[in-house]
Amino acid sequence: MLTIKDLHAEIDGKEILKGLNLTVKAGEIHAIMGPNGAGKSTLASVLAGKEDYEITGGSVDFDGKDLLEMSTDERACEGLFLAFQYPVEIPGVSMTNFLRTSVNSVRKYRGQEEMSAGDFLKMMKEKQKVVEMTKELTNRSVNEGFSGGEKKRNEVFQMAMLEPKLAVLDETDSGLDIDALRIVAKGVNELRNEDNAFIVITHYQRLLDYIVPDFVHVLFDGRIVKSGPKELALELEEKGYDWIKEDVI
Amino acid sequence: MNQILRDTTKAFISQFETDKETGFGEDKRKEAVKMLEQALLPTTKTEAWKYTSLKAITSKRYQSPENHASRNLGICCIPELDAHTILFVNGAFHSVCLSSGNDEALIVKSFGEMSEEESIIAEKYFAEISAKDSGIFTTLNTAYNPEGVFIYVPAGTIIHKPVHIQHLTDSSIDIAFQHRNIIVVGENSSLKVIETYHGAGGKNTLRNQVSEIFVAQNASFTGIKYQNEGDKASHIEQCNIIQKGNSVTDFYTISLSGEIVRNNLNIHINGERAHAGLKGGYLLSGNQHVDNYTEVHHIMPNCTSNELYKGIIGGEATAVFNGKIQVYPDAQKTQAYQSNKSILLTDTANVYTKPQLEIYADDVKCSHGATTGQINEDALFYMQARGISRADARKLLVCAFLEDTFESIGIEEVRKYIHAAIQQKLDIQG
Repeated sequence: MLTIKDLHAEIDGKEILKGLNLTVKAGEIHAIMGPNGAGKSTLASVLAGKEDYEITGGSVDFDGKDLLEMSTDERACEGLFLAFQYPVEIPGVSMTNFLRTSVNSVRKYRGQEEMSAGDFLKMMKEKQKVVEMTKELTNRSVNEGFSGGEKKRNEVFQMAMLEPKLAVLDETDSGLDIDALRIVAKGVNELRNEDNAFIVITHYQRLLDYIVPDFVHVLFDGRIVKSGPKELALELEEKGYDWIKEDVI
Repeated sequence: MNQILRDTTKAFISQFETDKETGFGEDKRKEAVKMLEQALLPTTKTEAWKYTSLKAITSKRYQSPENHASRNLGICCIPELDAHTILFVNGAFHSVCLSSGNDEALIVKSFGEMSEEESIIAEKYFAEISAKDSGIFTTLNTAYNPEGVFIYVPAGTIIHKPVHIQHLTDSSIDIAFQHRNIIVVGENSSLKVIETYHGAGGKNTLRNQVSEIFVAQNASFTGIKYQNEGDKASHIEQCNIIQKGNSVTDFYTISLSGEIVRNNLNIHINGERAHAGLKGGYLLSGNQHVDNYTEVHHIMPNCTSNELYKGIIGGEATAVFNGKIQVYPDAQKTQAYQSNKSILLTDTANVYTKPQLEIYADDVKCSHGATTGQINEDALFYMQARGISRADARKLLVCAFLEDTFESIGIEEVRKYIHAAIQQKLDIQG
């Protein structure tokens, strides 16, 4: 589904990704761990198409298409979803209006008809249950006045609405208490199936107790330096990243 | 003495001179004609006109409108709005349609159609507060303006349907004309007036308008001004509102186009426990220039005012906001708030904002604030990451920003109309 080859990216002249390789197949969950400043969030931003980053080398193939050639909204319409580490507040734009525009933009891109207001509200109601979103939250402006946990749940709610092929969760666990973490994980587990895939970026092994990955990768200094089964996460939790740094150097 | 300015002023005034009479207020009219002999047009050296040059207006030669026929009357309608309507084309009265129902006591008359009794009432309010110190444009209007509308609500009357004053400018030549509103809301009464301005024909036009609005004890008045006359239409209005005790006024000014637009909105709160709300929204492009010059005079104690103006300025357009709050020595316990927020879409767009607080009482709460910024890039990216195109995301953000300025309008059809007009303007610009 996703093949990243020798990806180089920089911001303000500073190289952050230095030849990153990663292959994700349908039905898989990949966890990406690594110390601060390794390039985890940069990877998420680059995949989503944030313009602040300049791609200086490599390629990203998404279901047979050149991802790097697409604009951010095209990527989303093709089925890529980024759950933001810091979801943005948009005062004045209601959640309902935002999501209806979003869902219909994606449908239009795929040549489908716009959803009727009735069908849309029905779908919203259904998907709200996945992450235990209350009606109060969906009646408000996008993320405005949401707590940290509510914002993250809202990300998973939007993911449920858009049903992406590939979802990138950028530190979705940061700032979450254990209950919120469980709700978010439950949402992801309900959405996973044979046809979609997840990249879960996280600092801590904790989230991976709830979202069990097929592969764990260690990102260090702009490259994936170690990959392994889910047990690798436990080893990292126990030993920290220093032994990997030593291995690499 | 500046001879050039004197000549320019004279030439400007001569475009409006007329022998036509209205039938009331002759003394004030004569006085105004006399005052014009000494009057001078403001320049950018005049403090109140520092950011609005009148050159675009004074350099043009306008004629008196001759033809008041138009095939474009339909553009003045607000879909599904159930209202009493009166229509003016190029400043001249065209037609009035009072919808039958409960509002039998309402008087809506063009000056030319008024009865003798009505003229006597109108004369009492004509040029009452705007006689001397409101400047040359008001004096000019008082001196040479036989056209206008008189709206009168007797005491103890709730007018259920809004009054819609429709203004259409549609000419095949460059024209200048005047209009005047005299609106009286009696004690314990309530009235909503929507005034919309539309343009067709694409010629240079200039409107000089004065509105005099009296809101009596315990009365409530809502005024909505919607301007979309086109890129070549200039518009100068002096709107004076006098409020008495326990009255409530809400005034909305929405501007979507115009070459030079100057909205002077002057509210005198002259009674205790009254409230004035002022909201303004503008979406400007090209070379449009909109100047909102507002004054709120807190004359009596225990009154409140709240002012919010927000604008989005693109192209090479200019927005000016002046917000003066004056709290008089007796006006203790005044609460007056003011805010002006702007978003600039381009490097060539301009914003000038000037809050002015003059407080002569010691027990008051007043605040003002002004911000200028750009469209939030993070919000754009976030929306794009959800499949929304950049253009659509921008539209959503712009509408959301301006929505604050009209969402409290209690007439759904008007809210929808303004919303659709903003959308349409954004669609054209992309």
